[in-house]
Amino acid sequence: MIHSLFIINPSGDVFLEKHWRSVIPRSVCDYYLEAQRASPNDVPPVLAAPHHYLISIQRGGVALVAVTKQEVAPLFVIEFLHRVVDTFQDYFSDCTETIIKENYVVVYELLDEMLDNGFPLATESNILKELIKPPNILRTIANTVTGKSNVSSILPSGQLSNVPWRRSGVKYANNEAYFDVIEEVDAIIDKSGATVSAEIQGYIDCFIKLSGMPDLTLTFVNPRLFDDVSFHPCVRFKRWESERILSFIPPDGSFRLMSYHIGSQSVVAIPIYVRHNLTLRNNGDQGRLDLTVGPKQTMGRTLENVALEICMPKCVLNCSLTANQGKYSYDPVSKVLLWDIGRIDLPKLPNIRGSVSVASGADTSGANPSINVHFTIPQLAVSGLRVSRLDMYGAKYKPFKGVKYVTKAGKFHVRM
Amino acid sequence: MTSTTTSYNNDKVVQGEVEYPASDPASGAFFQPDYKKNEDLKMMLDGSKDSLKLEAMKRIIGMIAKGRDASDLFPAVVKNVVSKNIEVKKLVYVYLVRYAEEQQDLALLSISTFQRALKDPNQLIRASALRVLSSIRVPMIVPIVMLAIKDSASDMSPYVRKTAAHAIPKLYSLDPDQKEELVAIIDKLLSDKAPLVVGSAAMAFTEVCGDRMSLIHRSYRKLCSLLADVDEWGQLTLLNVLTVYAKTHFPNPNNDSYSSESEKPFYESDSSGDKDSAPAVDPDLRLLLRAAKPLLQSRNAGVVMAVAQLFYHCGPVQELPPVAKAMIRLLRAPIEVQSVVLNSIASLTVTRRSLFEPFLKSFFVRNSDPTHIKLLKLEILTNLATEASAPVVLREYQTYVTSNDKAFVAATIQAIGRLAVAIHTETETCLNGLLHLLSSKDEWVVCEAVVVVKRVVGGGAASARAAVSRAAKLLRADRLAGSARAAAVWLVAEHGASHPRAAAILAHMVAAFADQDELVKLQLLSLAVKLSLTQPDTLPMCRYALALARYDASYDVRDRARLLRRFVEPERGSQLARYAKHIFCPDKPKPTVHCNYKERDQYTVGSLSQYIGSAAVGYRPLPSSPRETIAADLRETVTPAVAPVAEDGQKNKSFYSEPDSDGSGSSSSGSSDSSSSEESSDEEESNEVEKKEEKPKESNSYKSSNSGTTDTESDSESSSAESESDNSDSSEDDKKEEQKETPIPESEVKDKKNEKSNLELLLELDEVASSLPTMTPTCGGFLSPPTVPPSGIGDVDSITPVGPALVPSTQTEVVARVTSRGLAVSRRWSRAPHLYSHKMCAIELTFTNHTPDDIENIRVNKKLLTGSRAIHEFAVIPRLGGGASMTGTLGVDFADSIQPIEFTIISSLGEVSASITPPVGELMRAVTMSQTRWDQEQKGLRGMTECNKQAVKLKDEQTICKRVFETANVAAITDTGDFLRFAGRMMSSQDLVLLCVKIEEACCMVTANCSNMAIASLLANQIAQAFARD
Repeated sequence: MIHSLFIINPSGDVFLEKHWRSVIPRSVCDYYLEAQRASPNDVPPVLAAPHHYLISIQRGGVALVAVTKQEVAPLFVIEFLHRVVDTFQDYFSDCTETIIKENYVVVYELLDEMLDNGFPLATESNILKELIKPPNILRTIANTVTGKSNVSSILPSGQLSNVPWRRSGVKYANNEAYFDVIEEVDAIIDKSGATVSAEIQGYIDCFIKLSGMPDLTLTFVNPRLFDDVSFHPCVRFKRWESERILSFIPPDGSFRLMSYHIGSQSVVAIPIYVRHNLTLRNNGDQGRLDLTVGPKQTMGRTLENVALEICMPKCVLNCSLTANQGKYSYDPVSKVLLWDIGRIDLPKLPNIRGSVSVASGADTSGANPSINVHFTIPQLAVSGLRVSRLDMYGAKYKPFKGVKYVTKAGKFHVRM
Repeated sequence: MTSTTTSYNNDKVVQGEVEYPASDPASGAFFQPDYKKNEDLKMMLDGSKDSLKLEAMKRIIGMIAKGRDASDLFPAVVKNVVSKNIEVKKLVYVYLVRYAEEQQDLALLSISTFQRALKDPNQLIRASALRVLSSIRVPMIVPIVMLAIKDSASDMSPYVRKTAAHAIPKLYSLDPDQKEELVAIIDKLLSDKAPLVVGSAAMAFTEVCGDRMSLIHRSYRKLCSLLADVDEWGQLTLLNVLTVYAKTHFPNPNNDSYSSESEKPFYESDSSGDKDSAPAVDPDLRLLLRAAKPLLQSRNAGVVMAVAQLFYHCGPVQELPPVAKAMIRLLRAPIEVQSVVLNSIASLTVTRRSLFEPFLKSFFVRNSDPTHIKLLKLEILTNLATEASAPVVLREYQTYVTSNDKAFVAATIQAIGRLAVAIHTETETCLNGLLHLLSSKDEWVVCEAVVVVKRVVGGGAASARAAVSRAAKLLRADRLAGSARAAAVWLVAEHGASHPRAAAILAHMVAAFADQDELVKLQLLSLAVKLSLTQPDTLPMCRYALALARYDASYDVRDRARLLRRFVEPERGSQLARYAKHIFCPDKPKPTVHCNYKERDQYTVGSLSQYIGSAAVGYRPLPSSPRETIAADLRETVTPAVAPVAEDGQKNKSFYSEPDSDGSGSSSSGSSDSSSSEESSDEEESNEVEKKEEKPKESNSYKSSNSGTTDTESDSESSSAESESDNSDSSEDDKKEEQKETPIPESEVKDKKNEKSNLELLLELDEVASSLPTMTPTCGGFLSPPTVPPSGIGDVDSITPVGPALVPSTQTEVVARVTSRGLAVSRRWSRAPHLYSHKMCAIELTFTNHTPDDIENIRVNKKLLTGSRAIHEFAVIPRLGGGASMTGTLGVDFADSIQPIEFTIISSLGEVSASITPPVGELMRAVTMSQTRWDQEQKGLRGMTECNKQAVKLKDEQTICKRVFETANVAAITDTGDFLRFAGRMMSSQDLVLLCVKIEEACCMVTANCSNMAIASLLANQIAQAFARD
């Protein structure tokens, strides 16, 4: 399985290494660095070196490179590496070079606990947190005084129970359960404004602070909507199959309960439109750009945090534009025009127009820039999904329950 | 290097936080910083304050994390392995695992700590001790680790058993010779009932003996039903194992053309006996598929892929669509996952296009995708395009060719070419598009387009003429770069040889011959010659071109000209001209357009090998499916708890009821009950189904009893099942051994089965019999478990327990009459196995009443036991008359340790405590074997497990034997000559103890071998002492 793990920063330095079997010299990372130098944003996740295979992920500005010596399912390693980063984020609230360096002892202990001889041992965050307490100032002070340590000496009960994801003995003064229904619209809109493809990717993220062993059931008004779903291991699949309700004993804290996919077969509402007009060769070296953004099928909600990101053709040197709303910036190196609009308040439609300077003599015929659109619509699930009720069994208290809906742009793409 | 500087800075920060011990003398600036720092650390580690130790360890771990050498601190660190502070301990473990390989001798110092921790009552400590012990890569400790794994594999705690499973591949990589023993442990762990263990056992199985599918038979159904409860990583490994198993043992369900058959409950067809309408899917395979299907909804992409792999390679084709859907869902995962999934889809679409056709739009490329993802999507789009969807795909391609990404544009043009060849209705459109690209301003696009056009037209497309005239136009306009121009000329030469405009092009090009690229010149020469053949009136122009080429700067061109001249200017007797037409204008075969992912189809879906496109180290290709189901009976009859004869009554005891009651099983859905009925034990099940069930069962049991005499493998399986249900202590390899020794008629075994309670008694008696010298140990071999792995040795070479060579008669006082107010207890080692358990030594206690009155009710009261030790009390003595004495037999399992056991004896006189310290020689039982076997065994126990001791020389062999027998319960293998061999076996662990005495000039050398080091050294010492005694 995984022989060694190297964590590499953007400048190509290995700043943490851990070996689960015999030591592999860090020079093996050169194969990765070489690939990274060739194309920084396009490193294949699996690289074959003469005697090793390097499987890597890039997250939070650092790259995790796992080294294995023989055949292994690549997704096994990739999923595990993502889980490692998730755990770090859970412990230290972020996973960056500085944070890892600050906490390398905890990081090392975590890695040691998560993997034994290259095979995952404990990856559930609830179990890990019982074994190794997350660092915080209060506990550090308390430990110095009492001489206790951050490492548990007893086996977390979850490890042996049939609900390994939940730690035992949870107690809260205020019992709360929050559910965030997040939907992301992935779409490709062609030149003429027609939808080429549109899909919805949805998640239900939970933040649960409930005492004891609560057994929850979440019911939807319209569960037939889902094309395909995937669940946290706590969800009872049988009940979903027969009754289409989510029945589960939740882990403590925040976790992703389910993610779902509403495919291109169903009709997806497109909540925004972009009217664009770009002429690169008008007269002389000046081109013209004119963009208007407006809401469409938003079911009465307002679009917020709207931002447009346009990858201009190579020949565009600079832009001088005037926007009636928001700010714009153009990076002449990466050729990215960023227009941060913010909230769209009707009836005024945000518009940006002006001239673009084009390198003289450059070929402008074939270039087709594209726009990446970002937006959020609060209090709306664009698929129309609604939670009908949340019931709790197995505990006597009355929890505070909350459901929040939000729609975002996923990979929302407009071709020009 | 920059990394060292950054890490050094970081160190400094840490240094600042450390409070140095007040006595730190190393504050002078004279020392090198590195040297000084390590001295500091050593001092902190040697100190007594835990907080300083912890700080030091944290800094050392920091050094390791950065990849710097901290090995010189080894002695200082290793001392702290006994630290009470759990965090210090943990960090020391981390350090130890990292450096033990480099400092083997020092690492051995820590071993005893782990051995002690292995017996700790806290399961976490036991487990972590095993983890570290097995991670220390020192070949010397292999026997110790082996022992530890063996013990832990039968630990109470599933977590410890899981750790044992993890330790197996570690030991295997350290010493591959241990494979057979490890396989036996894996076999045991695979049949574990805890989901926690099973996943890790599957991992150990893949790493150590992935090809030994016979181990799976027995637990196959249990594994299927546990699948849902195993943790996600275990699921992944288990699915991989089961996929290989399913592929090896079940016929490909797609070979038969049953489309609706698979959903039919198969017992109907089974009981009807109609072989022709056999179900397409084997019931056992169906069980696996049904268990695996919900896992498609897992959040772990790896698990989803593993299920996809199973369904693709082993499942019926009509069940694949849900799999495709789940794979599409993964496309929203992080880039790395996308890449792997797309890669698999790319090779799946080569063979199973229809599967992904509905999801065509999911593969449309976004500008924001990284290049390699774009290329994969393009590949898939091209594979998926059909006549119906081609226009949509082509429209997409049109957008793609204007992308900024050069590699992607090139690939798109190639893809258009492939589409043109693959889909005939679209050839025209594609070619038009490609030709349009020929006039692009981007030279690069044009080059690529020409090459592709060349390929498409080479396929004999109808629009070849159009292509030629387009190319001709371009050539005349002189707008092409070198290689593109060469390709255009080739195009004209190949397909436009009879085209009237070809001559005009030639004329145009030849005019500027000297300025052309070398490649173009060569193509022009070919064109000229071809034209001279098809249009003879162009011959002068051809001659002119050849003449120009003759004086060209490049010798390639000159050579070519010389060669071609022969065709144009036939000389006397030259045959060439006659065949010129055959040479220059042959009918060329159509070029085949290959898919880049075709070859990857040979690799397992989702494997590393498939991703990189070549077989990775350790890749095992899936075997091809057998023509019919293999080993079906092995999966069924060998379920341990189901007695084959007592079928009707035993049903509720079925083995599978346990996983089912966990709420995991497949039997909770109604339909599966009827289909997987062997293991479903629900009582609610209708009688009808039950009746139907019986039929196959009977036949199966019949089969197994039949095969007992013929087929060796199934024989071993069934006999092992027997012994497992009877005597759970005996390990796997014993059974094989036993089987070799004394094949027992099946009928006898069955008789025993029926009267199980009697049998238990009988078994123990057998064992007693075996060790009594008067009785012949024929039956005893069956259950007294020898632990040596089978190594192809015949019956002669087996290890058989024998009775003691000498029963000591010395009585030792356990309780003095003074302490107990008149009741004296003395003990004697009877050297006979205890009836209660073969692990127990029988100790004969003699109670003597020194008082004039009766003592009543003598019995054992409190037992102070640690670890796995056990005491079986002697029978209560109700009354002991004044001055009388009586004996009782106490059974003690010392767990192979010479620690004294303590207990209290209570009687009417009150309670009195007693303690018995066993001499090491009484912890074993005599066994006998052939001399060659002895030598062989001894060879396997060299190294740390051997202990030598010099002893006083005694006068003859007889005396030596006597002294040995007095000290230890061993049997003589050779009792004459200069080299005396003795053998015994530990009571509890069943480790072999080998003892030899070598008579030398002035002294005797006593050598003891035992996989338990402590025993070996103790025994050698005691024997040597016994020799010295006079």
